[in-house]
This record gives sequence, C-alpha cells and structure tokens, in this order.
Amino acid sequence: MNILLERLREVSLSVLPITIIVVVLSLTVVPIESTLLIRFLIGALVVVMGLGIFLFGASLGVAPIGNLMGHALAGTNSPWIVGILGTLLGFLITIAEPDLQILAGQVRQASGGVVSNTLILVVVSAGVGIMVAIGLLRILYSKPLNIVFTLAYSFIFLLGLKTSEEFLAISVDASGATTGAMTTPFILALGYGVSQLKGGDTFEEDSFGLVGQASAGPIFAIMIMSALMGLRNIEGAADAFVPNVGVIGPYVRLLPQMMRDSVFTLAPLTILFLLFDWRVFKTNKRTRDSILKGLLYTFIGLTLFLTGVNGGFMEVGRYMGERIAISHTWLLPIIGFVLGMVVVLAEPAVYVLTEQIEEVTAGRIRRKVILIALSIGIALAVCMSMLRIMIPQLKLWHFLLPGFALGVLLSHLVPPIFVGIAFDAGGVASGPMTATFVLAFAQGAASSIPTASVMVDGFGVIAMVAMMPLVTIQTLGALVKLGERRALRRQVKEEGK
Amino acid sequence: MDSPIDRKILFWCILDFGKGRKVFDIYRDLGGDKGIVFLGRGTVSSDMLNLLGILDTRKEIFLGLIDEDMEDALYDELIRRLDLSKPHRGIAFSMPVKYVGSRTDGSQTISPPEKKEGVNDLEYEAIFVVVNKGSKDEVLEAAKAAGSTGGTIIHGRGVLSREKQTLFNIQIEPEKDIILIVSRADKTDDIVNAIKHKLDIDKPGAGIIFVMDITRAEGLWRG
Repeated sequence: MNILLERLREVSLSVLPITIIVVVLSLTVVPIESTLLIRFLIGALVVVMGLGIFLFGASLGVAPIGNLMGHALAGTNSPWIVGILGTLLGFLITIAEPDLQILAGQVRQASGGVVSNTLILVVVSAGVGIMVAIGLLRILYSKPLNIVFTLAYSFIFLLGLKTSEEFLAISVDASGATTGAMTTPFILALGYGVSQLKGGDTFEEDSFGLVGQASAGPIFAIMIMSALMGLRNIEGAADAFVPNVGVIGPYVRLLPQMMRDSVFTLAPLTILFLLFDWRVFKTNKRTRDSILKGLLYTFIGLTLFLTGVNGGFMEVGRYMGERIAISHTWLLPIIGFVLGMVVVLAEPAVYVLTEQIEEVTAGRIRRKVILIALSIGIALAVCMSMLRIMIPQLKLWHFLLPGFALGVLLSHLVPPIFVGIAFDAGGVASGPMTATFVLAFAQGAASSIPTASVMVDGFGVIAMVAMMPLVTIQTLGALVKLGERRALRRQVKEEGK
Repeated sequence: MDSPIDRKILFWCILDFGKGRKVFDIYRDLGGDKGIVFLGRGTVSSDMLNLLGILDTRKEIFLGLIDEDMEDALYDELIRRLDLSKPHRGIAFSMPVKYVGSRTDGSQTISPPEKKEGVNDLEYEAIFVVVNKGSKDEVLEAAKAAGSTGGTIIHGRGVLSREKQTLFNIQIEPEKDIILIVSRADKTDDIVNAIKHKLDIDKPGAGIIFVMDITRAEGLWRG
C-alpha cells in the first residue's frame, strides 16, 4: 500500500503550489467570488485524483506499449519498415489528441473557414508522423541530435520568412498542442524502447529527443500549408466567452464530454496494442492484463484530470487575467511569472519525463533539478507573454526567433543528453494543464487591455511555453558541464600534489 | 603491503527508489569509499496491488565494499536511520569477498570471513539468474511456486552473447535480465531446481544460474 500513498503524496505536492497561489491571490490582489473559488478548490481535488490515476495508468499501460513497439520496430532491422510504421504510429496517435481538435477549430475560424478541421488534423498529424520516423531512424543510424534540430529549425526559419505573423503563431502553437498528456508518454517510451534495444555508449542521450523532434513536425506542416494556400491574415474573432454558473453544475456538464475526448485519445493506441499483441508482441497473460488495466486507469485518470482542469482551472485563470489587467496592470508580468512557475508542476507529462530521466541516468540527473529549470522557463514564458499583451510594439517573433536561435546554438555546446531532455521538455510543458490555465489567463488579460486582441494575442502563448525550456534546460546542462569540468580540474590538481 | 589483511565484505542494500543516497551517506559517514548505486525493479507481493496491475516497482541497489569491523556499525546505523528491521523498508545483506584489487591497496587475496548467524537466526543464500530479456516472468513464477517471496530485477546486456546480433549494421549486445532472489538456505535447492526445470537451463543460450553465500542479512522478514 505504501506505493499508492507515496504516489498520492507526490501528486498532491505537485498540485498544491498552484492551488495555494490562487487562494493567496484571491485574498489579496484579485478577490474571487466564493462560488468560483469553491469550484476551483473542487477542481484542484479532482485534478489530484485524476493526475494520480493517470500516472499509474501511463506507467502500467501507455509506456510499456510504446516500449514494446520501439523494440518491435527496431528489431525488424529494416529502415523501410521503421520509416513507414513510424510515420503511421505518429500519425494515428496525434490525430486523436483532443488539444489538436480544439486547435483545428480555432484555425478554421482564423482562416475565415478556408481551412477545414479535417485538413488541419491530417496536415499536423502527418507532420508529427514524418518527424517520428526521422527521429527513430536518427537513433538507429547514430546521427547527432543537435544536427537534426539545427536542420529542422533552419528549414522552419526559411519557411517562416514566407509565413505571415499570425500563421507563425498558429504553427508554433500547433506543435505545443500535439504533444499532449497521452502522446508524450507514448513517444517517450517509443524512443526509449529503440535506444534500449540498440544500447551502446550513446544509450543515455539516444533515449531523449523524440518528443522534441515530433514537436517540430506540426510547425513546418502548417507553414507549408499556409504558404501553399496563400493564407495570410487572421480573420474572424474568438468565440464569446460564456461563464459557467454554479459549483457542481459545470462538472456534471463537462464529464461526458471529457469522457468522449478520452475515449477518442486512447482508442488508436488500444487498437494498435491489441493488433500488435496478437501478431507481434505475444505478451504473456500477466503482462497483457497489466497493460490493459493501465489503459483503463489512463482513461479514468485523463477524464477526471481534464474535467477538473476545464471545470475549475480555466475559468479562474481567465477571471484572474481579466481582473489583474484592469486593476493592477503592472502586476501582470509578475503574477504571470509566479503562476507559470507553479502551474507546470501539475502537468502530467512532466512527471513522466522526469521519471524517465531518473531511470535512464540511473538517478544521476535528479527530477528536482529538471523541475527547477522547467519552472523558471515557464515562468519567464508567461511573464514575457504578458509583456507582449501589454506592449503592442512587442511582436511574438521578437521572442521566438532569438529563443529558438539560442536553443539551437546551445545544442552544440551542452552535453547531448541535455539537448534531448530540453527539446522533449518543450513539448511536454505545453500539455493540457499549462495550455488551458496559462492560455485562459492570457486571453483574460488580453480581453481587458484595449490595445490587445484576444484572437491574435491568444495564439503564441503556448509557443512561448514550448520554447523557453529549450533555453533554460540547456543552460542547466551548460552549468552542469562547467561544474563537472571544474571538479575534474580540482581532482587532477589534488592528485598532482 | 605486509600489514595484516582485513577481511572484506561485499555489502548489498536494496531499497525503494530515492533512498539509495541515504545508504551512501551512512556508508560514507562510517568511512567507506567504494560504493555504487544502480537501479533495479522489485517484485510486489501485495495481492491487492497485483490485482490493480502493479507487478513491480523501482528500486535502488547499493553495493559497497566494507571491512569486516565496519559491518556491525553499518547494520546498526541502517536499522536506526532507515528502520530496516521493520517489514517493507528494504533489505540488506553481506557476501564474503575473496579477492580485492585496487590502486591504493595493491592486490590481496583474503580468506573468507566466518559465516555468521543472521539476526533472525536463518541462513540465507543469493540466487542469481541471467536470462534473455522477456524470460524474467518465467523465472519469477517458477521461483514463487517453489517458495520464494519475490526478487529484484536488474537490467543488463550481452552476458550470454554467443550469437552475434546486428541492428542496422551495428553489432549490438542483446538485452538481458539479471534476477536476484534472496532465499532461505533450506529452500535454495527447490527454487534453483524449479527455475532450471522451467528454463531448461542446460540447453545452450537458455541462461545461467549461480548461488552465492550470504553471511548476514537484515529486513527479510517473510523469508
């Protein structure tokens, strides 16, 4: 039983900080009416339960499937099979992601109905699929990760010159939206499975980076699409925001919808597993039962988690953004910083990533260190997004271009394992919790500031969240490298005496 | 290097993930300087957790080389600081060492220490089974049927590579699982035979199995 209690404690500790900050803010800067605050607290409780169950499910069900698939794919020894099946897997897993469905709806609106939902879904999923295949082949042919990222982002930069600012924001946002709570554990495990099979002295660094590469896919996919179709400006406006009423009512309404979303998300993976297990894996009954139970927990956990986030967190985030922008505009970046710092801790995939880092490095890189770097990254991202909303002269690319350039530059200077972790963390941080809460906060703020537009400024926030970890985690890597070098020099000096 | 040679002991400690550092600290406080920590997975014996689908959990394994005169102090500290005498807090055990070589000590052959009675007056032995990845469940099932209460799985590669495997034209070492089962001495034969029978171990490439003495153990209550 210890294990269950321990998990519950860990999960509570990761949701507690954001809860406390919101309560403190409601007592000081932004008074929140009591029904909304109570609803938020219930939401936090539901999120704790959901997150706990989801994480159990991910480690019992989703991750082992990814791992088995990785082994099976690489074991075929054929680049063609790895390429084709890798593309197919990436495609099927992404197309079911609920975040992507929402994004597709937004893009259709933004393009004035020219681009249909289905087209976006197919384009983005194909982008992910191709990058997953390239990523898997990279591991197998031992090509350095930083070269792949440099090529991918140079390509994106060139395409970006041809893309309008609005679609630049949409395309980078799409990359955040595709690597959600479910796809991340799966893609992480897929890469881990392949690198486990391959082994060798690059095993540690090979185990990361696949999520980061998958995240680059949607960026160029949407850019190419917008260039081919000649899409330039965002038309239309954001949907009017309808506040929910009551304490329990919103949850009751949301639950069936979130259940449907979760079923959609899990369906392709479950079907693929059953198919592969029947023909390829042939796992024993014990393992198969454990994986199927894991998928069931993932379903229950994801449903609860999404219900809690959408029912409790989203509205509080939006409300706080609105109020602070009206009453204490200058506080926006500071409060944004604090919120960003704590909200990422409650992100499901962050947990999965840090756990895998500990496992791969045999505990050499501890979870806490990565969490600190990640927290600082998201804090800066939200802080800068607030500045962008407040100051009309600041454009998104003023941040994204130097940010990604620095990210790519650092990838040539820091130890390779940190490159993979940093690019993965970028995809991981922009999951359902951060995306929903931070986006709602930013949209709330934008709606209260006359010079800002909810639609235009709303896009690009997720992009910032996905970009900053590249900088902060690789900086951490550089510090670790310096520290190790200094320690080595000291040791050499001592032995010389 | 003519000074009298201390008897050395290989000290093992298997704990929940995250506690390895604590053992390391205790070991260092007592003057130890040759220790490593690595990861493994421990089987879960709770029926309820098994029903939920949880079959194993992450463990940290500490290995250290200690002088015989440090042994008592180390066990005392572990019991005091990690509650090792209570169930499910982790296990610790000692193995005799025959030979030690390192730059500072020179190379030494050491006569093995006398076998000591364990704290709960039972003698234990450590069974190691090395098999291809994927066969670990068979080993654990066979061991359980023969009376073992669980085991620790350590991931490794390439020990039995008689066959050459290539992956995308690169030669790789196949993945292996090492299963460590600490058993009561009177049950060792049954467990070993059950595993041998199940794996058909005399067949080439099926795996290897060996047993080592344990001179002292702590934390094995259900043994």
